[in-house]
Amino acid sequence: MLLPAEDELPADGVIEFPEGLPGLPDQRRFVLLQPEGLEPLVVLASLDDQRVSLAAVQARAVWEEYRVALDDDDWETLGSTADDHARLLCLAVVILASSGAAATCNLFAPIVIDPETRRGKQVVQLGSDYPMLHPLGGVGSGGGPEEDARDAGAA
Amino acid sequence: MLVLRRNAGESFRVGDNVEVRILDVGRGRVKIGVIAPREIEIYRTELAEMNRRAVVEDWRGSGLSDLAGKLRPSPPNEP
Repeated sequence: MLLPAEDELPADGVIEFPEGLPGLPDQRRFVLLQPEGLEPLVVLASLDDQRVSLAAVQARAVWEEYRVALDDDDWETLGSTADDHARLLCLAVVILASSGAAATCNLFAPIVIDPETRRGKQVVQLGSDYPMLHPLGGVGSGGGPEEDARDAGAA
Repeated sequence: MLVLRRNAGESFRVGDNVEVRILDVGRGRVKIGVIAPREIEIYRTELAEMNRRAVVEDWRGSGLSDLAGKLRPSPPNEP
């Protein structure tokens, strides 16, 4: 899955997050940038507040077998269907290193973007054991007990 | 902050549409079930905190390019 280059983004390359992002509920419109020299990082720059950008990395780039699980609500928010799975971008939000702590990325709640519908959503991977603080620089692997789960068919 | 005392198996409601059930209580750890309409997103508080910590005010700053450099495989002809 390749990220569209910046010059391939449609002129109105705005990506809408209809539900906002947890902790950043007012940021609903972003542009996805691939600034030169920052590969493999990408930047999601908010159009609602210029002081808000998020750096991210494709989940597959840091976790080879990464698979995102989406439910019907997620597809509805994205405006697409399971048939469109292959074109989705799945980005892990990066937290930069600070005061002794290494840089990490969030594989537990990736930001999923459909480049066609230009909608995005941060999708919590309940029932997975993907870490929220995955140290950057290493490649992880699956396995381990389930922590949270959603009952099949529950509300 | 409202404080409630509940035993395992009991529940409480937040408004008419959200029910929070205490499923199991262990040592310093509880298992909680939430029944809520689909449009209400349920996520751990840490996620909101994590997103706020991830905010970069100026992505052109050195922090991102330093990290990007570390993540790129170094070319084979470099020491």
